[in-house]
Amino acid sequence: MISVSAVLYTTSIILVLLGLYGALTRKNLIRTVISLDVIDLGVNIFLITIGYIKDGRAPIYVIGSGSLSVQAARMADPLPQALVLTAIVIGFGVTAVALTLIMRLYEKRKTVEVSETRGLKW
Amino acid sequence: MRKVIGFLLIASFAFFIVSLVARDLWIDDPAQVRTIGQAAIGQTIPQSGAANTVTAIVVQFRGLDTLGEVTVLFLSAIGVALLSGEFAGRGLNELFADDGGFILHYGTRLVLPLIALVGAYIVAHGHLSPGGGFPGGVLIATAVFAVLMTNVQQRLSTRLMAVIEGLAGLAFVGLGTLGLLGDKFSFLANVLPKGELGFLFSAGIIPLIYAAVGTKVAAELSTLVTSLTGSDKDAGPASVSAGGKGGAR
Amino acid sequence: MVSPMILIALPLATAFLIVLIGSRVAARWLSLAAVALLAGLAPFWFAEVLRNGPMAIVLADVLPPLGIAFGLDALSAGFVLLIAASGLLVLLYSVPYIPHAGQFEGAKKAETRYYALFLLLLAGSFGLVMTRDIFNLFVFFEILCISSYILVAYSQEERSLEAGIKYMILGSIGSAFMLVAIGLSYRVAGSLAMTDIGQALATAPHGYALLVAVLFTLGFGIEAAIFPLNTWLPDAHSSAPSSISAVLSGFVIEVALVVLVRIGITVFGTLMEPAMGVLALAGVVVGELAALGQKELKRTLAFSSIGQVGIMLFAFSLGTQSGDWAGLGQLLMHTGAKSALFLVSGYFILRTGSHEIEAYRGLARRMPAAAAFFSLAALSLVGMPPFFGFFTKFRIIEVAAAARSALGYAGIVVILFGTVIEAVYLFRIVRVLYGGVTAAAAASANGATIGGLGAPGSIADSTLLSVAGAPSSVPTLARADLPALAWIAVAAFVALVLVGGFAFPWFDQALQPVAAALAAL
Repeated sequence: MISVSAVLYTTSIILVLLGLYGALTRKNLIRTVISLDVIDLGVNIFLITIGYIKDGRAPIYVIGSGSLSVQAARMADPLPQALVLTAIVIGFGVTAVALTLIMRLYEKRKTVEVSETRGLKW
Repeated sequence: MRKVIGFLLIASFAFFIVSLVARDLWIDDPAQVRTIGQAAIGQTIPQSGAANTVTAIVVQFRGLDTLGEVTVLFLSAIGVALLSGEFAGRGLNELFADDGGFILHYGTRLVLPLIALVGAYIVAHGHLSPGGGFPGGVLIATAVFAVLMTNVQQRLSTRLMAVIEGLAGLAFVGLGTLGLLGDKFSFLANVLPKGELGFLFSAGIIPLIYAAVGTKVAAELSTLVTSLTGSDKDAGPASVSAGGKGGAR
Repeated sequence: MVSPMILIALPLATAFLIVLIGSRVAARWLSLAAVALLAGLAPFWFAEVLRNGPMAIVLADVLPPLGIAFGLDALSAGFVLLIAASGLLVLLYSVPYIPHAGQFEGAKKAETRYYALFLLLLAGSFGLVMTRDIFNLFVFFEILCISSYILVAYSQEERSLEAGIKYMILGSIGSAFMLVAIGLSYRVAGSLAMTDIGQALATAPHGYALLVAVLFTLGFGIEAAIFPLNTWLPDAHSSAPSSISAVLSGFVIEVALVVLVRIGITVFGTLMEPAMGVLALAGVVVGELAALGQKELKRTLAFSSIGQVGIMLFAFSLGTQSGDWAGLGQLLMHTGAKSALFLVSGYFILRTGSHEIEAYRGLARRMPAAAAFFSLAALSLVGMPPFFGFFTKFRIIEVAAAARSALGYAGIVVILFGTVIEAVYLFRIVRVLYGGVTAAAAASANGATIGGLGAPGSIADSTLLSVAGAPSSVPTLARADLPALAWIAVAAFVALVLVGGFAFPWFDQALQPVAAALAAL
C-alpha cells in the first residue's frame, strides 16, 4: 500500500525538478516564469505534505462538535499550513513583478525570446 | 547544448535528493517528533482565543512573518506600479478588440458587491473558520478585477488604492506597536481582551489585524491589476516613444 | 532602552507613510529622518550588547520555539550599525542623484517609490541579521531580494530590465531551494528555531544535514554572489542606479554572505569548508580576470565585487576565529571602498553621460575632488599601505599561512595574484582619470592601443575624440552637477578606509567580539 505522503512527496519533487529544468533551458521568458511557478507549486506541496497526519482533521476548533481536547488529538499539523500561506503570497508577488518586467522588455524589444537578448544566458 | 546540461544537472540533483532522504520521506508516520505545530494546537485557545489554529499561528505566534508577507505584497504593488510606467494608463482597448458586451458589462457590476461581501465575510471570520485576511482580500480584489476586465473604459485610481494601502499598513504596524507600549513590551503582542471562543468579537487583535491585512491585500491586488491592464486613472496617457531615454545610472 | 524592533517597524511605517502621502519632498525628509534616527540608535545597541551580552527579543509575547526567536548579539548589532550608517550616507547621496537616474514616463512618482523601496531594503537587511528563526529569515530575505530586484530595474532602460529579470529568475530558484531546506529542517526538528534545528540536524542521519546545507547554500549563495551562482551580478550592479549599486555591493551581498556563514557554522554544523574555499578562490580568479577585460567602469567595479566576496568567503572558510575576524575586516573595508567607488562613478556618469572608462580621460582636471576620492578608495581596495585594505588583506594572508593547509597556501597565491590584477585595472582607471588626451591617442582613432596602457580594442567613445580635437583638452561636461550633500556620503566612506588604515588596532579590537559571535548563535 503506497502511503499518501509518499505520493505527495514524489509529486512535489517531480514538479520541482520539471520546473527547474524549464527555468534553466527555456528561451522564452514567459515560459521561464511559468516554470518558476511550477517550482513554487512543487515546493508548496512539499511543505504542506510535511504536516500530513494520517486521518487528520483540519486544525480548527468547532464549538459543539465534541470536546475540545478530543478534537485537538486528531488535528493535522497547522504550522506547515501557515508557512505555505506565506510562501504562496511571496511567490505571487515575485511572479507579478517578473511579468511586469517582461512586459516592459517586450515593449522595447518586441520579443520575449532570450536568444535575442544580449547576454541573458543563465 | 543548454538542454543537455540542464538535463544532466537536474538528473544529478534528483539522484542526490533521492539517495539521501527519499526513503525517510516515504514513511507515513515517522518517529513522532514533537512539533511546534502540536504545541500550537494546545496553546491556541489559552493564548489567543481563536478557534482557527492556523490563524493563531499566522497572526499571533508568528505575526512578524505575516507582517513580512504583507510587506512583500506591498513591494510587489510598488514594483509593478513603478515598472508599468507608460502602459499603466493606456487602457485595455489596445489589448483587446472589444469589451465584454452588455451582459458582462452589467453583470460584473451586479455581482461585484456580492463577491466583495463574501470576501469581507471571509476576512472577518478568519479566526473562526478557514480563510482570513489573505484569501478574503484576494476575493475582494477579484471583484474589482472582473469589472476592470469587462469594462475597457473603466478606470481605477491607484492614488486612492495607495492611500488605502498605506493606511492599512500603518494600522498593522500600529497594532503591533500597541504591544510595545503595554506592559508586555513585545511587538505584536495580543493586548486586547480575548473574549469568548467562537464569537465574532473575540481573539483580541487578531480580527483587527486580519481586517487590516484584508484591506491591504485587496488594495494591493487592485493596484497590480490596474497597472497591468492599463486602467490607471492616475497615470498620464501613454507617450508615443516606447523606448526610455537613458539617464545617469 | 528602545526596543530594537524599531529597526523593523520604523522603516515599514515610514514606507507606508511615504506611499500614502505620495509627495517627493515628504518621501525624502521622512526617509532621511527615519534612517538617521536608526543610525543614531545603532551605536547604543552595539555598546549595550558588548557590555551585557546578547539581547533576546520576545515577539508577540510568545516565547520560542512556538514564537519567533529574535535577538541582537554582537554580530547583529555590528551589522545593524554598518547597514544603518551606509544606508543613511547613500540616502544623502540619493536625494540629489535620483532625479537624474532615469528619464522615463512617471519618473516623478517613481522617485517617491524609490525611497519606499530603499527603506524596505533596509528593513529586510535589519531583519535578516537579527532573526534566529529560519522561516522568518526566509521572509526577510525575500523582502531584501524583491526590493533589490525592483531597484535594479529602476531606470527602466533595456539593460536594467534585463538585469532585473535575470537576477529575479536566479533569485526565485534560490528561494525555492531555501524553502525545501526549511521544510526538511522542520520535519527533522519539529521547530523553526535555529538552535533546535541545529541540534536536530546534528543527530539526524548524515544525508539530512548535508542535503539541507547544500539546498540552503544554493539559495543564499545566489544572493551572496558565490561562484558560480553570481552570473547575475555584473549586469545587476552595473545597471542599477549608482546609489543602489553602492548599497548592493556595499552591504547587501556581504550581509547575505555573513548570515550564510553563521548559519552554516551554527545550524548545519558545517560550512562545507573545502568546497566553499575552492569556490571562493575560483570566484576571486574569475572575478578579477573578468574585471580586467571590462571597458565600462561600473561593470569593472561589479566584477571586482565578485572577486572581493571571494576573498571574504575564503577567509571565512578557513574555519578559525582569526579567519572570521580577518574576513570581517575585509568586509568592512569593502563596504567603505566599494560604496565610495560606485558613488563617484555615478557622478562621472552623470556629468559625462557615458559609462565607458575612456570617456573619463583627463577628468581629474575638471573634478579633482572626485578623482581624488576615487583614487583613494581604489588604493584601499587594492591593498596599498597605509590604507585599511592593506591591513585587512595582510591579515587574511597571515591567517591563511597559519592554517598550513593546501587550501591556505592556494589561497595566498590566488589572493596575491588577484591583488596584482586589481592593481592593473584600477590603476589603469586612475591613469585615465589623470591622463590627458595624448597626441598619439588623438592620432590613432582606429583601434590602436591607447596612451600606452595596453588596452586593446577600439576607442570606446569616439565622440570624445571628435569633440576633443586638440590633445590637451578634456571631456566636455554637459550635464547637471551634484551638490555638496552628495559628497558627504562619498567623503564619509573614503574617511572610513583612511581612518581604518591609521587606526587599525582600534578596528581590530572592535571586530573581535563580532567575530566571536559569528560562531555562536
